[in-house]
Amino acid sequence: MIRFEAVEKWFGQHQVLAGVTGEVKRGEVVTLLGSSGSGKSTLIRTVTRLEDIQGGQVLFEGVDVAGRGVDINRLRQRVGFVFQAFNLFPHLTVLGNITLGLKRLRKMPKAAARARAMTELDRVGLADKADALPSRLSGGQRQRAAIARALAMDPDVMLFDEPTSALDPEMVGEVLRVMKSLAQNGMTMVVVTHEIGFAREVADTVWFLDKGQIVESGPPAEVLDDPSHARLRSFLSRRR
Amino acid sequence: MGYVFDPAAVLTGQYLDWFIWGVATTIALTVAAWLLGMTLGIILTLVRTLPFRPLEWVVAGYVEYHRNVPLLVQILVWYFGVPQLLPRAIRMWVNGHHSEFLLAMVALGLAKAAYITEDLRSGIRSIPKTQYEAARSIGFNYLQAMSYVILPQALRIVIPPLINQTLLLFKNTSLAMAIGVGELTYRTREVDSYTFKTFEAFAVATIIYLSISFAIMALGAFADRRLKLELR
Repeated sequence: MIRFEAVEKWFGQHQVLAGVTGEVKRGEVVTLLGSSGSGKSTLIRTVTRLEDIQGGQVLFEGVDVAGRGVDINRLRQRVGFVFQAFNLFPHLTVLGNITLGLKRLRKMPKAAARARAMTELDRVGLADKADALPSRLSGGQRQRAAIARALAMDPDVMLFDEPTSALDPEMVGEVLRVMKSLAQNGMTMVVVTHEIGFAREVADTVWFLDKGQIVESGPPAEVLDDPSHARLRSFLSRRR
Repeated sequence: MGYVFDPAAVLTGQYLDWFIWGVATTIALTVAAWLLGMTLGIILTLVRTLPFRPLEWVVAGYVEYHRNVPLLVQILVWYFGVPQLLPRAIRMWVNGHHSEFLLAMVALGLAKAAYITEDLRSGIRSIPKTQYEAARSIGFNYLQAMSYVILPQALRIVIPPLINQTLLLFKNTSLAMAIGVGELTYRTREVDSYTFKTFEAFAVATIIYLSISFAIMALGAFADRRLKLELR
């Protein structure tokens, strides 16, 4: 579904992605591990062209996302993106955040958009917060609302950029539970995270990035329990 | 001395009518110029944030002209200058339809737009870039992201300076008397010259200006309370 082919990305003189090649298959949950600065967030941001790349290709359903004929706005509707800092729209209620795309892009009538939004809110356990402003929610609730917002657009794949890194420890669980149930329902997911437990339990494949390259990849049991790469060993030992 | 302060003398018969017409014209001019200024201010803001440098320079030039040339001069240019550039048919039409009101509205509205776009730009700058990214990630194009996500927030942030701009606009409508718009100041001068009750006439005008100003401030404060962004 998503293919990275020798992807290179530079920020000025600094190379963040140094030839990343890998594939995310439909229905697969891929977890990206790596220390900060390893390029994992940048990598998933290239899928929807939040970051442009300088070398290689990112293919979505076999089509180069930077290709000439690609309507990036249409592509983004098919790819849900969840940010570390939630990025809910503070001037809209939780419901308003979710219905905005449905009404304006999907041209759904108000009632249908509302019903759709409530389904998603129910799924993330926030139906009772529909009319609250984001400022009235806890961090965990905000992130679940952000996930509902992305899900409402009915994406083919969900990208998560450190979805629990900005949360207080006691709120991490509720967000991970939502993500886990998504995975169990067959959603294709790419998750940048520091939650080794989540990777072990939910992921089909783990990619370990170091200095802008995937240095190790495979099923979590293999990669996490029997790491061959020294960097991964030290990364894991710091997080036990 | 022997001056008797007698406000009732200017609030009777045709003088009262003049005041009422004056107030109505002042309010109409304020509202019309405000709407024009807001609309154009928003458009200019969208244009100047487009990733195309020359447009930014055009807007910057627009802003500097309107900020640095006296408003009265701008009004006079619009009234005495611009119509001459128009095709005859349009000129005739405008002249037959209260051209002084129309052109004062245009002059005031265009000048206001320059200030509003400056306020809006600083409002937009204070919104985190991640909001724009989130909007684009849902699938909105640039214009949609601006109109549904960024501008609604920026407008809320700049309500206090916008109240200030509205007050200035309201008071500046009095400059339109220079081209014969029958607004409150013009009518007050008229009452004054008919009655020689200078203090009474201007006392009435002052009280009217003050009341409307206070009403604008109260309305603005209400809007600010209701719409203020809760960020934390």
